Amino acid sequence: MRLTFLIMRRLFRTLVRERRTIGLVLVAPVLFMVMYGIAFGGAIEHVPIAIVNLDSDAEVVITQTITVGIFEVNITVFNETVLALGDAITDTLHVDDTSVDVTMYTDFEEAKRSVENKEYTCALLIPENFTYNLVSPRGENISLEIYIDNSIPQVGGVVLQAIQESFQEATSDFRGNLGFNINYAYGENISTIDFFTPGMIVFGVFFFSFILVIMTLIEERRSGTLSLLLQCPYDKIEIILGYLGAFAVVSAVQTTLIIIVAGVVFQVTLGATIANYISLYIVAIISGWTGLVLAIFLSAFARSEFQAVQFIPISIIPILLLSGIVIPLNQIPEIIRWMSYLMPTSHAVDLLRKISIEGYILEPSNFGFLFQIGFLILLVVASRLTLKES
Amino acid sequence: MTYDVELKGLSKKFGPVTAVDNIDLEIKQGEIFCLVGPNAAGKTTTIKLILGILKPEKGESSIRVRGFNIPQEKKKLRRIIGYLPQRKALYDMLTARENIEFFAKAKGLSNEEAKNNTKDLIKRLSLTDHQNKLAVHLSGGTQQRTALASAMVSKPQIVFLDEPTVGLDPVLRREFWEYFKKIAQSQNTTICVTTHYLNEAEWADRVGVMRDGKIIAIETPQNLMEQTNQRNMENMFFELLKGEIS
Repeated sequence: MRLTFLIMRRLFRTLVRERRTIGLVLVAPVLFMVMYGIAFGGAIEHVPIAIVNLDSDAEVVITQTITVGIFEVNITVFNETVLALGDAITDTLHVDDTSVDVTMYTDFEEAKRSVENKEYTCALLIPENFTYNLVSPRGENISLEIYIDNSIPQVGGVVLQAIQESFQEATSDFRGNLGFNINYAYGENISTIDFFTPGMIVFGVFFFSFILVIMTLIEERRSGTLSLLLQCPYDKIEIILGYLGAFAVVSAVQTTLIIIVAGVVFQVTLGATIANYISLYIVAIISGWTGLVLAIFLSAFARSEFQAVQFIPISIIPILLLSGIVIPLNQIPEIIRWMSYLMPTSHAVDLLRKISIEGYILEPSNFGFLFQIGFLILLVVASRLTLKES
Repeated sequence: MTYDVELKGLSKKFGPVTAVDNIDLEIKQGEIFCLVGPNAAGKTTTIKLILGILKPEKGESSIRVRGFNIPQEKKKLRRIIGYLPQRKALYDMLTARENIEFFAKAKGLSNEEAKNNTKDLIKRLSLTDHQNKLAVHLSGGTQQRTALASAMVSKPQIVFLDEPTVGLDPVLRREFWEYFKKIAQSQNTTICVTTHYLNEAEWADRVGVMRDGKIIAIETPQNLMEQTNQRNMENMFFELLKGEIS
């Protein structure tokens, strides 16, 4: 037992003397709990939907024929104007339901186009005579048209649920048979694995490049090879570019492996055309590069591998939680969602989902793409400044 | 007299510790200059200041190498300066030959030059049998020879070697110094070597004795020994400490 106690004491001493470690030991659990709590505790809220409401007030007259002696008399047993239920339901969705934000449209085709353009997650058509058919004693079949972007199934599900619940609640007392005719702009047969795979590609290449490069850089610094490289007659930027060049290949190989496993084992297809795959590889390689340059930058603040691994919880875990890899961005509470938008990985995940689920082909003017490139350049400039021998 | 290195009033502090304390020093072109002194005397810091890796304390100090101000103009000198850091700066997963060739090309040599110079140095430093072994598998002495070859492969005109002989056996140490002599004579290379093996300093043309960040004497080894009436450098050093000469 003597050695056991000696080792315990030695470990405590080292921990206490490594100020950064003791900070991490105390701060990390609190940070994790707060982040997990906030990130997972959020509900999907304020999903934008477009409603076209053609419904109007219904003048409902119900007559009954009664025989009085030899006369048949039509008497009106019900004559009332029923206020348009379409308006009431729209109001309920608009005011009471926080899961969706309603915008009114007049033309359903136009509303559908804005779903395709990603302005709205869903377009809903409340048909003409909706109220009239609903309250009619004949028990009409009423069909509501829904056009939905289901590329993030969790979000699509919440919207459908909100719409269906509000309609069923308002119409259960009437005779009309309510049906929903759902058409999908994107993601008709989407499964959870379809949703997760793009996130896994981004996280895989990012994390791997980060770990490998931060370890290599610390070794370069400790062995002294970095100081030799810095004495060479070239600019420091060439060292960074050398790393970027080599790791583009590494990230491409990793992406290929993920694509193969996703395809062979889980029957997930990530692209339909060559252009889809080229787009996918570009986004994946940029994600790998972001992890790499972040590692070069942070390596300046770590003296040993021991300190380098400590960057994982404070830099990698937030990326995993807040980039939409596990939790869709719409579900992340607004109070911290701005952090998600500041992470290049969020844009990478979003782009990869668009590519794999919607068949999107990358355009150089895409905001997410430009954001990633801008972030990468910023990191390269910062790394060039911090890349020093000691 | 042409000086390759001129230092005036140079100081460097790390927190409360003064590592280099107001030193003046000149190193002539083509000479072997040895900075000698015990551990923590300030030898490595001095070399890092000359190379521009560390910045000196603000003040009236100046560092000039081949007439260029350091650290402002250090980039202009990178092609002609060689450096062997104290640690064996090698890539573990490259072979000895690959390491030497890598640093040759990184110094700006053409592929052919790099290949020829590497071949030449492998032969000169008796690395032929080890050239295809991974650096991680080489013995300490062979690693050190490989590191030296990497520093010399670009045929630099001014070389800074920080403790190149540390951990080597006496035979290998002698071989290193013979090699330095040969290079200095044949290529007119200026060589600045640090060592804490006091006796080694005898091989140098001139010696700067350092202690506690100060240079306490600069002379040829013979003059130093004569002035202290000692037969070897180690005894000379202890005599110096007694303050027999200033």
